[in-house]
Amino acid sequence: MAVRNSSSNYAILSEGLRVGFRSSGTELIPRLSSVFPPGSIQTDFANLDFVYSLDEEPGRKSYTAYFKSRALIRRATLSAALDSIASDVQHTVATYSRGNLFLHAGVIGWRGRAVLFPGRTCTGKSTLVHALIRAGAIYFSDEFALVDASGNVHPFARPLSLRSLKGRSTVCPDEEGLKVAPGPCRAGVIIATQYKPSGAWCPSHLSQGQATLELLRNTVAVRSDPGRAIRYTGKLASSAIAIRSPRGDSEVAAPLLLETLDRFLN
Amino acid sequence: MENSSLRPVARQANLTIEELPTELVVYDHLRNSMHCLNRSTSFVWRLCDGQTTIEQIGARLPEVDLPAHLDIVRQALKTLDKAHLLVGKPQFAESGLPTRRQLVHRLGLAAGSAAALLPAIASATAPTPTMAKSGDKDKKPKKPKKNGQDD
Repeated sequence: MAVRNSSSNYAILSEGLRVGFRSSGTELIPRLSSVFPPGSIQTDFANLDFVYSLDEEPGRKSYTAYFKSRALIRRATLSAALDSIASDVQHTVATYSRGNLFLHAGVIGWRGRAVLFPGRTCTGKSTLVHALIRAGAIYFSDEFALVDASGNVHPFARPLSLRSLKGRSTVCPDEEGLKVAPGPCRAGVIIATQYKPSGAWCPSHLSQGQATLELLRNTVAVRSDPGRAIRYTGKLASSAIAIRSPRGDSEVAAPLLLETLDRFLN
Repeated sequence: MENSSLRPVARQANLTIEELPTELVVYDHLRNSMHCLNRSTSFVWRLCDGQTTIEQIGARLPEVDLPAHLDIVRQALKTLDKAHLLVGKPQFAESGLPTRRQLVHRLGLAAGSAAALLPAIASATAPTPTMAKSGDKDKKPKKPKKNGQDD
């Protein structure tokens, strides 16, 4: 039976998945909107694929977040609980997406084409992407490349999550006046790069097969749907130049990388 | 002792294969491993039909710009076997097989072109969703292993 979204229930449609959110407090639903993946649209609280819950412990100002019946985090601050839900929702949508294929990658736009930096969490993608968009690139995502069957790359413009010695900070590109991608575009360059303290920018070309393998290594749902994963990444790699290079600090690497992109894309 | 009429057989079961212009990308469902076969390895693998001998395969290597040398076929079979892409184990004496560097020297290939021409497979383990999500900063992503390079 369909249930209208209420003050304590809310549902979204994201990449073909119906995800529901419940909360014990009416005031929490507006706060939950911060965890919805980019591009989500509101839908009825019915026929749900997944359900998340956020419970406030009475009188304690602490919160427990659940995915189905499994606790994601217990007795936490509201901010920490929302962060845990946000992370898990994004991961769940990435894993079970019925639409685009999700790759772990930082993505920018440059000279009308998408540039992908495949890599898992904690490999410096966000820092590099932030440096590049401050240098004029267009922001697609610091965590996921969304690839469709035609090999186009769609934006997933969540706030950037940057790590430093002081801890983690969140950057909203539009609040900083930085450009955000309005829609999908063709991939132009795939760059397999990883931060090394003494890393020097010295790109070498990858074949289409090597590039496909690099993308597959960072495809979230490769094990559950390898056929689709190989087709989509192969299609993407067929339209892009692929290179591999170590890199040093993002502030130093960014201009060198953009020079390389200008050579490839002009 | 090598069986001179060796007729290797490419494995097909539980594999998803994507053909690229000159390479193959293969997903092994049994091991959740992924492989990129370069041009010469793909060529040899396609000829492993259980009917074609390794001598016949070797004679066709000039079609992929390589000399008709049996050691190149053996090198390809060794890398394919290591990646579990053959049915059964090819019976030849690996102790007599030259290393990649020795093969490059023996064939008179330039080092750069040898890397592209000689049989090679890049392999990686397919990540689980959790592996990617964990975000352990001490875990470095594994570089793809390249079979066929010098040990």
